[in-house]
Amino acid sequence: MSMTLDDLRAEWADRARRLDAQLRGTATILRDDWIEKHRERIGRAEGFGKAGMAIWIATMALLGLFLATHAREPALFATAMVLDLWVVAAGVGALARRQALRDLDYGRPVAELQARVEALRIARIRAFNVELATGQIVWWIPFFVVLVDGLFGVNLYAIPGFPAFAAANVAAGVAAIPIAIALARRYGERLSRTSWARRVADSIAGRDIAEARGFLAKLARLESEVQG
Amino acid sequence: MATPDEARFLDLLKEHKAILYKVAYGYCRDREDRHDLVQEMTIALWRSFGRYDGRVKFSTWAYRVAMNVAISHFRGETRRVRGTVPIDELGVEPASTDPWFEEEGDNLRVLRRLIDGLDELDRALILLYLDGHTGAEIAEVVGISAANVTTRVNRLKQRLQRGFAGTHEPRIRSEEPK
Repeated sequence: MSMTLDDLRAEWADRARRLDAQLRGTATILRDDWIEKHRERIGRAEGFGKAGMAIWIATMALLGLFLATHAREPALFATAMVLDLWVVAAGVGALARRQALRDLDYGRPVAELQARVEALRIARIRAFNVELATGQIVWWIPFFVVLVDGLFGVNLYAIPGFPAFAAANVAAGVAAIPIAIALARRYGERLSRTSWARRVADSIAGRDIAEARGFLAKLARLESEVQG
Repeated sequence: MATPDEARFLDLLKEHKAILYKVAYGYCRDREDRHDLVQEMTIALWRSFGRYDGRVKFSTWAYRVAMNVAISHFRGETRRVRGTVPIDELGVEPASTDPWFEEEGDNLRVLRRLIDGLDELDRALILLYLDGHTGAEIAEVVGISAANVTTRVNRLKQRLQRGFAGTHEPRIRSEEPK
């Protein structure tokens, strides 16, 4: 017997119709309180991030307290201010991206919604890269200085030689950025495709953004290649 | 008690849940992943239901949600929701349809393998075509013009036809694109 795709379509559609009929007959729904009962779980699946939010607010509160008590010590104040600005900017960015994700309407046509998802993906990867790069600078010396003063009351800047040590470390942090990019580009693809390290390497190397742009271009071609 | 909106959602879900199984099977071969995907789709349908304004048929809207979730899942853009909510209580039981899908005949199995070789967008087009939708209906789900759908689906049909002929050489006859 010969077979065309239209014959297969008929076979496929017939099977789909039978599935529809079978499922309609067997459905049992506990409708009374399912949504009420699972509302919290559904919210959790949305990536609400209560713990992240609590840590963010606590960090800002502690840094605010530090700034208030060290207003007359310019070096410590400026160091804590850099850290605080980083924390505020990263948190606001994360909240904005989370809200944008929540605002996605999955009932929109596929081409439109997927373009929106991909644009958000690019924004997320860019933010991750910026936070990773600037984090090399912020989350070592400034954090260490503020932590030691906040916990033990020791001003590290007052220790002879510390300013030079701090400057060298900040310079090393800056130098680490291009090195990380070069390593990710050279060796990142050797890592397992599903590993966390591979995802980080792909972000740093720019492969994720290139892939996302490729998908956006594919979406654009969906409409533009008419009657080709 | 369920609110009127929730009751309406559950009624519509009951009527159209086969869409979720069909789309999930089109994008996932692995059973566990497929069950996760159906769960993600169910949650997405409920979250989006407040925005459903009835301008398109519910089935069209459900296909959009299911395909958007499936493509995002395929591209690794969704959070894994394994075990988040017991969707079986809603009568959505992906496992119950596993044997039904997996006991397909030789022709459909070959077709399924060929579909697996398509990218996520072409797969959406061909799954809708195979489910019996017209060009206009596919256009509503995907968001491109009906003329474009016809062109693209014809190209995909030729491609699948060639692939199918390669696998079933003696049983296939050539077909002119429509």
